[in-house]
Amino acid sequence: MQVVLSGEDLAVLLQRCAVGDRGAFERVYRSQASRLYGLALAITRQPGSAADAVQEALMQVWRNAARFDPNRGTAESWLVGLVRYRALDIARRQAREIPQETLPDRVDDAPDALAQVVASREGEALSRCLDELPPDRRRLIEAAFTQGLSHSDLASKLDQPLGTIKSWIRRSLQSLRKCLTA
Amino acid sequence: MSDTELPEDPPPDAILAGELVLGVLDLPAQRAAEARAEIDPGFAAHVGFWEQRLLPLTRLVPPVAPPAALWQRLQNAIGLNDNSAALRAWKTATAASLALAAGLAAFAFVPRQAPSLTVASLAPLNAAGPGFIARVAANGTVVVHAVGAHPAPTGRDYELWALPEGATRPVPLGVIPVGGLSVAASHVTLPGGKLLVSLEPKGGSPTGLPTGPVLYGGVITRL
Repeated sequence: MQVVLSGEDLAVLLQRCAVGDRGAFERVYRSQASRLYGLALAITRQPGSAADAVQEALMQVWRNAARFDPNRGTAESWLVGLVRYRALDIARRQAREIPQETLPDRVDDAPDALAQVVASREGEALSRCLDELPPDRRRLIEAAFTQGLSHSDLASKLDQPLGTIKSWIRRSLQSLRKCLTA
Repeated sequence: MSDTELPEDPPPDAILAGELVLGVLDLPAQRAAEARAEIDPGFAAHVGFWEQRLLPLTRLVPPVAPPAALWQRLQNAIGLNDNSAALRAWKTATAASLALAAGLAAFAFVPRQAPSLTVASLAPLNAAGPGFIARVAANGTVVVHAVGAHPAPTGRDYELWALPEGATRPVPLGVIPVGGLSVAASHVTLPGGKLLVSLEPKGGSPTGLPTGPVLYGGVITRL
């Protein structure tokens, strides 16, 4: 059962976690676990690893909730960032130890998925700016973010030289940044 | 000329931060960028920008219910299984009054002049505990013991760092074994500096900078 919390509520809960409120921590978990686990699973592609990523990130939340700085971003983006970095770390370590399995298909660019992006509160600007990119670059950005694909993953997946991929990503980020700050 | 033949300049910070948030960096580059965001406010602001602006992309990923055992595992990992409601309520109420000290209380220090002093580390009274206690001896030796920190997860180690006052790069002081760490560090442990503990791969950071989350920290204070 997923409890929906607004960003403001989540920020309040994090402040309460910072002073050791277990009930607040449990509410963070109950309201966010499915979303965070889904994000971690899309990146690690292994249930055990996804659970490890969520656990490590939420340990950080409990111990370092006081570090959440509302001036730098929302509670939601802080939480999502913690989980994604742990999932990326685990996925990269596995890639070094185990030969990379078949990479997943390209990101789902069905209209309903795009509508999801727009429907979120900050999504309209991002969607508009992504639309200004060539379609293949937009898919590259979306696949990299949602599946946690590294430069090298993308190079082998798309059969392009590594330098080309890096250059595409950097130019896309530059365009996005310009559009998002305009 | 193909792109691969172009010399590879490091990207501007704003773009490097975008690459970090996007998740395209390889492991050493990702860890280095994450560590930098911990100690470089300018770079952290770029990271914050991308984290916020790219957040709507998370809507492309469907939520998945985690394994039922995860909540139990998490509670065990951070010592949340104390079921005494009265104690819990007391701790929460008391901890609120100590919240301001939260960032500084993970360590306690004794003065160089009094190396034998018994010390207590005061921290918010949540179940996470105070973490570590550090003592700087007269000859500059730092002795660190875990007092509330849970053992590092399998395959990981806690590593101690010194961040001298005004410095932007922490200096590695070594992996903290279960029994504690004693290390000569007089050159980096002057009052006003900080001691930090990060969670690293087994054997410590491979890069010379923290690569995992910095979980504990405190300011070196002359008592």
